[in-house]
Amino acid sequence: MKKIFVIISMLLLLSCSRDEKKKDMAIKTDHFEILNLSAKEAGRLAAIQLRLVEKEYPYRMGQTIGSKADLGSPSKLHPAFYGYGSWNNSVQGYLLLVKFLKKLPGMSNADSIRMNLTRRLSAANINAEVLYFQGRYSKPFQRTAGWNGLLLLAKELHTWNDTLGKKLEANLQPLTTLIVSNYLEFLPKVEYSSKGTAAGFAIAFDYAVIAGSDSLKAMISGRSKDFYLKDVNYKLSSNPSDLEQSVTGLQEADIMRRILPKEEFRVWLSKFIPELSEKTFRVAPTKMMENKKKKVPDTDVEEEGQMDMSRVDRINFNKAQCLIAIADELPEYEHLRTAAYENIIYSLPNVVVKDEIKLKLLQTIF
Amino acid sequence: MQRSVQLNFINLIFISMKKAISILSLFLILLEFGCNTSVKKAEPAEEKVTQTIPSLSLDNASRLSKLPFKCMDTEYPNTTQQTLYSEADIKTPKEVHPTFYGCFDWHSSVHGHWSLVKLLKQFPDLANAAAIRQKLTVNLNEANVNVEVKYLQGKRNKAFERTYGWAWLLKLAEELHTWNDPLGKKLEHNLQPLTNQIIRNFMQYLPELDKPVRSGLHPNTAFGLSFAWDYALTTGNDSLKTMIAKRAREYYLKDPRYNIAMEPEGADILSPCLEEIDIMRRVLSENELKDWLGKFLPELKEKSFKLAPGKVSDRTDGHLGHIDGLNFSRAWCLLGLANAYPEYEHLRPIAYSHINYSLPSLVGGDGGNYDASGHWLGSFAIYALNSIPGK
Repeated sequence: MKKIFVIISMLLLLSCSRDEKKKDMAIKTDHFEILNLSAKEAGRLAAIQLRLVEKEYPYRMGQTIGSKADLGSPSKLHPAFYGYGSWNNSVQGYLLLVKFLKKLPGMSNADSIRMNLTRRLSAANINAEVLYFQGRYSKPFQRTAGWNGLLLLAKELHTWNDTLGKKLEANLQPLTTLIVSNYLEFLPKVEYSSKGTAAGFAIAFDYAVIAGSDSLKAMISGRSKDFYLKDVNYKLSSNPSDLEQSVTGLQEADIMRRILPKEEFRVWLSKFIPELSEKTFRVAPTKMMENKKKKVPDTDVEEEGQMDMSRVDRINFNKAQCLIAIADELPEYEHLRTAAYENIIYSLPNVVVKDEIKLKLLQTIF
Repeated sequence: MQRSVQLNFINLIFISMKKAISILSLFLILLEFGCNTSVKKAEPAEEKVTQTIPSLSLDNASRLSKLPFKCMDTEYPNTTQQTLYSEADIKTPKEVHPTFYGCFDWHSSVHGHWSLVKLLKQFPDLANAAAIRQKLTVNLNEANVNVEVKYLQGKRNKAFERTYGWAWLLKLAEELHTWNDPLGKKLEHNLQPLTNQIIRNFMQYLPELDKPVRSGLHPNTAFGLSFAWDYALTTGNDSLKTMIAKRAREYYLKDPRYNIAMEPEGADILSPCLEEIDIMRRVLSENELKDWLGKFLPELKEKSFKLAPGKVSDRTDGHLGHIDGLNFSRAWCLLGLANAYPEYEHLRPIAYSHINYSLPSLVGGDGGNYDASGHWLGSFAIYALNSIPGK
């Protein structure tokens, strides 16, 4: 029933008249509203998220062990971020809990979430995480996906007008500072971009802007130009078996939109993805492989194939987000909204029936 | 410079064993190293005509054997890639993997063992030959191998080392199978339960895998298929061979034209494009291959085809150093094609330029930075050098 309601509300959004665009946009980019989350539903999801960040096992350590002395339980090695399957997941889980509190401060379990945040993101726990990162073999730890997650969390705390937010931001600061300096040290050495690099750059750039970190901003801007400025003729979907191909190109556009002046971006985009300017442009929703859907997961932890369901839906929402951002920036790309909605509408039914996917989506799309 | 001169003098002792061309290449490689690797920044376009032919000499072999020899029983540092399900899972690498606990991770350990077997076969007089044989005997004993089999059979470990580690395990099994030596026979026998498990894994996984993994990292499907194919061919495993040929065709035969300019990505060890060619070269007939390749990567047959070696900015960083591995694997793919079909002869100098860019840092000193790349890169170098046809 709820599924149908959400789809109907999406279709209503689609039929909104153009002159209501401003108001309309605010709704479309707010995924809490797209998902039609009531305070009660948000509270229910927050409770699930809280349980997951407290669940120590299973946990993918991603550790390089220097000696037997380095062995330890997740909670010992990562007192702040030991739950929810991995370090990066755990950071994302806390990111979402903060988002919930910011959006719905009066939710029924707000107090228990606040207590958990206070306990887990204590100054002492964060210092233990810093020490881990400074370990001899930890240099590539969480590079760069986990680094980005941490910067998202730092940004979310920075923009939270709340005494707890201020306190947690201060607690997290040593780790945030370390990640920023890791980024500054690492990026000059990177010769080639990877999948996910552009999306990570967008996160780091946004953090640099709100935190006033000019060196990080300049570094991201410079490396983005090195990697992407000369790219031309990207095909969003020439290779049907590369699930991420469509979103990789759009993520590249998403960072260039941030760093280039509007006119330069306009020219660059017309060369980079010429097909986008066609009024009939569509990009097919990314779909999951048929027999993966039926399969019982091999493990409880995110692994190749196992979380495909959430991954393809996140890809679709991310695609939509990038397309809408282009339409917001350049009016001649207004038609991209249609392509964006097709992707959202395709994935929405999956999202509203699966709590795990809903959580993932709320964490990663913002 | 002084060390370089000494090294070259040592090389001269082996003159009688070598043809002029390999002496020249060794000399140049060592000279380059002695001068300072950072000087070597020549653009590949300038190198195309004068590219030195690299070779696997006894001296290079001895140097390349040192790292796997050292690391095959070095437990730390180690990255187990393990997911912990309870506190009981917190164990040392050796407890979890009594055969392949060394060399930083399971797959590097597997191909470290392969490297040593390969070098022993080619160079029975290799430095430390007796000690290498001894270490192989210890690690590959039946009891240890059985623990590895049990691990792979764990219901949570179905995806463990899929498909990169699986592929190298079959390469090791293949190498043992063709080793005419009592030790080879014994080790092949000891390894057999694990080999069988990997074959079962492939036979179960491939029908389930609808679309191939096309990344330049370990799960790349084409790479896994290529090595598994070699094993199947050498040992006469027709069911595995048939499965691979069928799936390779289904995965790749209808691929549209590829844009090789998009490669590489930052931490690639394999070229998705060239790996695909490498498996299709194996499974397709000559006419089919040429037809397919003409659509997939038509520029490859042009004499003017260019491909610059990937650049490595910091060899102390393991991930950035992946690109050295990419250079070696690109080289063996290109050589594989040139060896099979004379119209791709022009790819040979490109392959050499890739090897020449990445080899000096490995053979010039003590085998590179162990923590970063030394624990694995030698195997890639050995495989690439062995793709150069013998004299």
